[in-house]
Amino acid sequence: MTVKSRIRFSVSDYEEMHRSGFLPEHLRVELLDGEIRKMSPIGPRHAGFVTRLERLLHKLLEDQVTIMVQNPIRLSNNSMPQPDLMLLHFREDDYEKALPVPADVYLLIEVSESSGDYDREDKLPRYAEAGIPEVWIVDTVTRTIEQYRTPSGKEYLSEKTFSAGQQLICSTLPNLAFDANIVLRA
Amino acid sequence: MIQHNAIIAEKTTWRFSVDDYIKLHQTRIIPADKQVELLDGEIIEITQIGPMHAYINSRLSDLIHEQLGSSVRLYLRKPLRLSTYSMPNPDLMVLQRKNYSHAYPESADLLLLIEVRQPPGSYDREEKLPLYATAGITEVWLIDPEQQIVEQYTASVENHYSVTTTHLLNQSITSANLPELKIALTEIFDTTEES
Repeated sequence: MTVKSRIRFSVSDYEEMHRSGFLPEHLRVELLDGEIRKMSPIGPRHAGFVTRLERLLHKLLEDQVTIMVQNPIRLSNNSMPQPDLMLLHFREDDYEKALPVPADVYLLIEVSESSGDYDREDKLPRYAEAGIPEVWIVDTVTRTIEQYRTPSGKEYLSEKTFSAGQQLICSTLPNLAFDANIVLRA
Repeated sequence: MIQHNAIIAEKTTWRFSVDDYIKLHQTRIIPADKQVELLDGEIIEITQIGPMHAYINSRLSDLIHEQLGSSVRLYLRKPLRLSTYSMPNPDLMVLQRKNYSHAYPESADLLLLIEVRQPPGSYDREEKLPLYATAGITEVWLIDPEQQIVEQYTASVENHYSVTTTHLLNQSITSANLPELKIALTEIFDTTEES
């Protein structure tokens, strides 16, 4: 039986490719399940949502957490994605010595427009598998926030969708509570 | 739905160039013992070939060597620099006789390319033939050990071959590019009377 199977790379292979220069630094790529995936370009709406979220998180959480924007996480041996936002256990060194791993994460946020299926079908199962406790997918098209909690295998057992006017509370950081409209501006 | 996702995955997967691919080997990111080929920017693992497949490759190379002697160069399962994003290892390449020690053969060097079809059979034809046609490979033979037939593809037009001739077990095949190369199919498939 001939099966067409793509070769899968480890995180260290992937890092070596960056070091040796044939994945140029300006490229928006991430490693997911051993495959190098191109991320969609960031348009103004995506950028605006990320900026607004970042401002809100800083305001509500101050210095309790480390906030990372569009930086890599060492999710597993063969996945190193770059989520839009990550709320991490506070570290004095701002993770300068080693990239974050799943155990460091309180909350991971993806802002989704054209990449909707990619975030939900490809990335979300890997986040669940790695044990990321809570993920939000902020959909700029439907103007909703999906909250995923309780990872089990490749899925999240709890999934709730919030629209403008509804109060959203992060399960791992109760101080992070706000009306979804602050982000969505629907 | 599944198909839809497959299309999205296809579009977002990073494509490696042949130069990247060669560097991945040099830096051992792709281990030396890993059998792979580069098809349209994707690095595909090649599965181990069965004994029949291996034997047909060997037999074909003998037959070609007997008939064409040292006027050509034969490459068995060696890399072909097909295009910017493809570097397959075809089963057999009949190449113009020259020194390839400093650069892998390219499509212009090819006189005839032969692939042995793997069960269940869709991989070589559907994935590689369009790439061969696009690169301007002028003649391809597809050997089918299950059905004991040989399909001969000639006259490449854009991404396909406009002429396909099927040769049966009681027939013989003559190369379009190399008219002196004529092989009876029984010589390829009949493995009972080895001398």
